[in-house]
Amino acid sequence: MLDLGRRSIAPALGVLLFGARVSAQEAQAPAPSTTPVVTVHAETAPRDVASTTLDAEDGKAVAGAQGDPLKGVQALPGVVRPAFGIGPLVVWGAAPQDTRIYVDGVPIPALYHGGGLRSTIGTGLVSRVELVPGGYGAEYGLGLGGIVRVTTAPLRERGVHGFVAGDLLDASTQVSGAVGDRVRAAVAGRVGYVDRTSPALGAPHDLGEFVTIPRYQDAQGKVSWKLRDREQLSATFLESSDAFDRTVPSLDPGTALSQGERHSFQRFSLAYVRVPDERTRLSVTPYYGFDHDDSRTTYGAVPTDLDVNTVRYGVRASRDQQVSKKFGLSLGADIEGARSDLARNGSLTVPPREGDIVVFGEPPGNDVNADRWQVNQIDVGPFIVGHVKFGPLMMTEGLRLDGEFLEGSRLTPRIGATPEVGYERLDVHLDARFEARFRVSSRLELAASFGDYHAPPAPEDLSAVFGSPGLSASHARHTTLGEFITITPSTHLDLVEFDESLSSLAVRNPANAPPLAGALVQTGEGHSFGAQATLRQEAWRGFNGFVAYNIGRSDRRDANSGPYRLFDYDRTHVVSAVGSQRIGPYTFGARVAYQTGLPRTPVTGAYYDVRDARYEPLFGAQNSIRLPSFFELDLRASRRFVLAAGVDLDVYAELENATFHRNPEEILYSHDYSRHAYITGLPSLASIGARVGF
Amino acid sequence: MLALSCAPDLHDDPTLVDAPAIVAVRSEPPEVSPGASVNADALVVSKDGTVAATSLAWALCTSPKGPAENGVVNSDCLADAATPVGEGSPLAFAIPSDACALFGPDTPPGNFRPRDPDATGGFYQPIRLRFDDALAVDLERIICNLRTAPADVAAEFRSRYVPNHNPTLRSATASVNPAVVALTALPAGERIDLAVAWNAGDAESYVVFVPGSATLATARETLRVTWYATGGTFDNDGTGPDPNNASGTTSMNVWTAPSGPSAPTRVHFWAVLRDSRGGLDFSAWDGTVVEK
Repeated sequence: MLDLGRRSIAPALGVLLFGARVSAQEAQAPAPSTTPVVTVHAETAPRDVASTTLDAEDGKAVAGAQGDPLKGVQALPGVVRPAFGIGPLVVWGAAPQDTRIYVDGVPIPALYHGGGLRSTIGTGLVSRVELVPGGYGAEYGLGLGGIVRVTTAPLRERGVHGFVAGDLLDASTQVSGAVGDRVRAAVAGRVGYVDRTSPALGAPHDLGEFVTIPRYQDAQGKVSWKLRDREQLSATFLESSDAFDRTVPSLDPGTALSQGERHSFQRFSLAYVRVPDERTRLSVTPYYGFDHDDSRTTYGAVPTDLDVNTVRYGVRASRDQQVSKKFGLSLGADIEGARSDLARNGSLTVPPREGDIVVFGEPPGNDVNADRWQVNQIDVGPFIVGHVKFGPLMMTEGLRLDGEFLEGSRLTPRIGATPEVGYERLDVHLDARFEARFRVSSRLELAASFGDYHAPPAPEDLSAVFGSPGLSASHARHTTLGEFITITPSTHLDLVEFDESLSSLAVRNPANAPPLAGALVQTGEGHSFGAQATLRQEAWRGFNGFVAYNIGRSDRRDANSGPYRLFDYDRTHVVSAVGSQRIGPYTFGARVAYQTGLPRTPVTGAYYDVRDARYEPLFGAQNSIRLPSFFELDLRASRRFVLAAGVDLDVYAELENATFHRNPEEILYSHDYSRHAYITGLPSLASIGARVGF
Repeated sequence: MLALSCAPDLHDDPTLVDAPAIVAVRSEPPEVSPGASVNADALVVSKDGTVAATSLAWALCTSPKGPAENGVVNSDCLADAATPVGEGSPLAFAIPSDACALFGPDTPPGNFRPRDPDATGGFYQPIRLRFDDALAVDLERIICNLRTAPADVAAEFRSRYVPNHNPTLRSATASVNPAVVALTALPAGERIDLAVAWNAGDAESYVVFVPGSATLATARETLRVTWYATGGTFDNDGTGPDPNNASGTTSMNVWTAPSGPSAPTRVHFWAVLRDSRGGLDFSAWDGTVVEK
C-alpha cells in the first residue's frame, strides 16, 4: 500500500498525537503454523506533510525494481533520477549526499549498491520504507535534504522460515527461526555477480569504459528478545560492500586509465523498546559501525586517490508520552559520532563537486597534492516534540538543539616544517520544526510545515589542502504546504508545494590565489521550489498504483552575491506512473517515467594543450543547456506457485525500457570538441528471477 | 538481462590532419629559471604538410588559474590576460622573472596557498599560441624553490635536481611483416608498422618532492609518442616505449595506408616525442602510397 502522509489521520488518538505509533499487536504471521504472540512494534507515524510510505510487498511489485522493495523508492513522487551510473537519491533539489538514510533509526551511508542496481538491505528484512523529501520533524537532523526511513520486518515467532532467490544480477537468501518463546533470529545475505554475467549476456565489450559494473554483497542479521510483556530488545547487524575495478588499456602512457573503488559499511545496533502502557513508549537504540570508502584512479601519470575510514557510533533515544487526550509530548536525543581518518592524493578537481564544470570523460587536472588528516565529529541533538489537537486542527511543534563538536588534526597544510596544529570547536544550532494539519471536511485536509535544518561539514571537506578546516554547518529551511483530497474511499489526490532555501554551502574558492587552507568557502546558496501532485489508487479489485507529477526548479550560486544557475541535478518536470494488477496467482505491473533532462554546460570551443597533447574545452554559460528528456516504460509479470504446504515459488520477468527508447545519459565529445553525440542508456534490460520461500 | 550498445561512434581520429593545427612546441632549454630566455620552435601542421608559421603569435599568460580549474590555463589567458612576445617560429623570448610567483609555489606576502605542482613536481609558465583559427597553450617548465618542503629537504632537492633536457627523436622506419619498406613505396591498404627511436638517455631520472611524506624520491621520465598523418589511419593516437624492445628506446604504431582511387598518394607524417617533464622533440617525413 502506498501511503502518502495524509493517511496518518488514523482513528486512534494516540496515533494522532504521538510522533511514533504505539502498538502492542500480534505479529503478522502468514504461516499457519505460527502462534500469535504479543510483540512491540514501533512504527513511525507518517506525520510529515510530504511523507510517502511504501510497504515491502508493494515495493517488490514495482516494475523495474526487480523485486527489491527499496528500489521501489526510485519511483516515488519527489525522487529525481540521478545522473547515469550514480546511485544516490536526489529529492526535491537536494544534493545526493544531503538525503539521509536510516534503518530502524540507525544511519547508513548508502541505500543502494553501486549504480543503484540493488539495495544494500536484504529484501526479506524490509517491512516498509518511508521517503520524506523535506519538512520532517525534530527527531531527525544533520541533513539538508530529505530522509529515507527503512523499517525492518518483525521476525516470525514460530518455526523456521526463509527463502532462496536469484536472478541475473545476484543471489540472496534468508533464514529465520525462533528459539523458545522469547528469542527469534534471522540471517540474510546476497552476492552480486552481474560483473561476471554481463559479458556473457551480450553487454558490449567496451561497456566498462562508460559505466561501472560493481561487485557487491551484503549480509544482515537480526535477533529479537522478548524481555517482558511489552518490552523487547533487538540486535541488528548490517554489512554491505561494493567494489569495482576497470582498466582502459592504452599503448599511450598518457591516456591509460585504471580505476578502482571499494565502499563498505557495517552497523551493529541494539534497539530496546518498552511500552509500559498505552500512553507511553520508551526506546533506546545505540549503534556502532564502520564506513570505508576508497577510490583510486590513475589517468596517464596523474594519480588520484581518496581513502576514508570512519568509525561511527551513536544512540537514538526517546520517550513518547500521551499527556492528555489533546496533548502529547516526545522527548529524546539523537547522538551521532564519527571519527574519520582520511588520506587524499592527486588533483584538487577529483572527485568533482556539484557546480564543477566538466564534460564526460574529461581527464583530471594535472596539479596534484597530498594530505592526510583526521576529523572527530560528535553531534548531540536533544529534541522535544509536542502534539496538540484542537478539534479538526492538529499541530506538532518541535525544537532540536544540535551541539556539534568538531575536532581536526590539521588547521594548516604541511608546509616546510610547520608543526601539526589541530583545532576544535563547538557549534550550537537551535532548529524549530512546525507542522499543522486541518481537516476541513471528510474529503479535504490541509497541512503545512516549516523547519530549519543544519548539517555539519563533511570530513572530506575539512582537509587543509583540499578543503578548509574552518568550514562549519550548512543551513536549510524547508516550507511545505499540502492539500489532501479524498475522491473515493480508495482514491486520493495529494497536492504538495515546497520551498527550500539553502545557505552556507561549501563550494570551491573561486580565487586564483586562495588563502592557505581555503580551497573551499562557505558562500554557496541554493533555492528549490515546486509542486507535486499525486493521484493514487489504493487496493481496489487487485489494482493499486499512482500517477505523480512534480514540477520544480532548483538553483545554486557559489557566491552569495553572484547570479544563480541551475542545480546540477535540476529536472523541471518529473512524471511517474506506477501500477500493479493482481489476477489470481499472477501480478502484472507497469511503470512509466518521464523526466526533463539534466543541465549541462555547453562547450563553445577548445584549445590545444601542447604539453599533454590533448584539447581542452572552453565553456559557455554554466548549466545553460540540458540533456534531452528521459522516458522509460517498464513492465513486470510475476506468478506465485504453491509447491507444498508453506512452500511458495515466485517467478518474475521484467522488461525495462520496453519501448527501446534511447535515453541520452551523457554528452560525448570528439577529441577536439568540434562534434558531439549522446551516450544512451541501455535500450532494454530484460531480467528474470525466482524466489522460493518457506 | 540483455544489454545492448550505448556508446556513440563519433568517427573520431585525432591523428588525422585535415586543417591547420599547432601540435608541438620544442623549447630549448625545456626547463629554465624565471628571467632566462628560451628558443621556442612550434610545429604547425596542415593537410599540405608542415607550415612555415610566420604569423604564429606568441603571448605569455599573466593570470594564474584557480586551483580547482580543470584546464591547464586560466581561460582569461585565451582572451586578454597575456603579454605578446612576438610572431613566427622559432622565436626567442624571456620567461618573466615573476613566473614562480604567478605560476609556481612562491606566494605573495600574506597567508596564501602555494600552487600545486604536477605529478613530476613541475611548475609551468603558460604560453598562448594563435595561428589562424588554431589556438594552443604551451607550458614552459620553470625552476622554482621548493617552498612546501622542510628546509633540509629543499636544500637537498636543490643540490640533486637536474633540469630537464629535450629528448631527441630519430628517423622513422616502416615495415610490413617484418620486411622494411621504403617510405617512398608504402603499399596501399596495407597495415604498416611505423617505428621511431630516441636516445638511450632520453628517459631521464629526476628527484621529486613527495608532499605526503615530505621526502624526496627518484622518478624516471615516461616517454610517449603522438602520431599524425594527412591520410590513412593509425591504430593508436599515442604510443609508449615498445614493450618488445628491451632498451625502451623505440615506439611503434600501426598505420593503415589509404587505398582506392580517391586515396591520397602522398602522405605527410609527424611524430612528436614527449617526456613527462615537458621536454619534446618532433619529426616530420613524407610518404608515398603505391598500389600493389
